[in-house]
Parts: sequence; structure tokens; C-alpha cells
Amino acid sequence: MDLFMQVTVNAREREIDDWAELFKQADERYRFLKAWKPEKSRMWFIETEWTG
Amino acid sequence: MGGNQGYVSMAIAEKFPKLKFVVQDTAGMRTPSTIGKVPEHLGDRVFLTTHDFFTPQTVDAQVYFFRWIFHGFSDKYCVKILQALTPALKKGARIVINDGVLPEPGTAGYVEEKSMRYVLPFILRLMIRRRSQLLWGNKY
Repeated sequence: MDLFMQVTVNAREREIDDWAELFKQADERYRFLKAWKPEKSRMWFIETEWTG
Repeated sequence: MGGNQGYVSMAIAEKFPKLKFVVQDTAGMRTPSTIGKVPEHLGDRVFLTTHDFFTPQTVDAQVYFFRWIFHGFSDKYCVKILQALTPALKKGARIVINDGVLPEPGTAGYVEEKSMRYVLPFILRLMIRRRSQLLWGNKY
């Protein structure tokens, strides 16, 4: 699947660690808080705080 | 951010009467023929505005909300989106992303994991392809 998305739109699904890494890469002043999923939801919330 | 005609903001606004929303999307979503209409009773709390999230953010907000945005971009462009936000950010501002997360292998049920890893992306691919067709005038 990753390969599939890679070749079609050059994007991919991300695991929680990947999200944290993404913010870190963008700016060190982002602080990753948490990732959580409401019951019955398929989508997650990923929360980050700006510490700058 | 990338909030289209603000239907998610409006839904949240209905539940939380004290919150205000600035819904940003690109100019193409804000022409007289494409722009949506905010119901009258939300008119003083939900605003449809024009902003491209790859350009520096100017709106000072407590929360920046991205729903179903990041899954469509590679890391390089996600990083660009997050960096474009920083000029406007005040200490303590929150960035909330509402999107798909790949469950760690074995933690989700068989069907959910299979659908997350294979089916959903496949549908997404079809949708993206469809958008391409619309954009490029059905040349495929």
C-alpha cells in the first residue's frame, strides 16, 4: 500500500511516531502532545503545541 | 485550514457557541460561483476567507485545525505547511490534525487494519484520480 500511494501521489499513511517526527522536522519549537482516536471514529486527532 | 466551505467549522460552531472560526481555503474555492454560504445564525462566528496554506500564515488563532489535509501530501510538503504557520504562532497555540493514523501492526482488528492499509488508500487514489480528471478536463 505504501508503495501504491508512493507511486500515485507520493504521499503515505503515517504512524503516530511519523507524525511526531514530521513536526520536529518542521520546527524544533513544535512540541508533540498526543494522538488519540474517539471511540467509533476512524480518524485520529493529533495535537501539537507551539512552545516558541 | 484548507477548510473548504466550512461545514466542519459550522458543525463545531453549533455545539460550542463561544468559539469563532476563520475558514481558510484557496482562491479557487472563494469565487462567486464556488463560495459557500454561512447560515445567518453563525454569520458572526464563522468566516470564509482566502488563504493558501503554503504561504505565511497571518491570522492569530488559539487553534489551527487541519482535517483530512496531510494524508494527501508527502513529508516534504507537510513540513512546508507547518513551517508556513510559524510566523503567526503565539506561545501555547495548538495545531490539531484530524486525519488517518496507521494503527501499529496487530493492534487493530483484522478488518480495520486491512482496510486502513489497503482499501482506504485505494479509494483515496480513485478520488485523487477523479480530481485530476476534473482538473484536466477528462483527458484520461
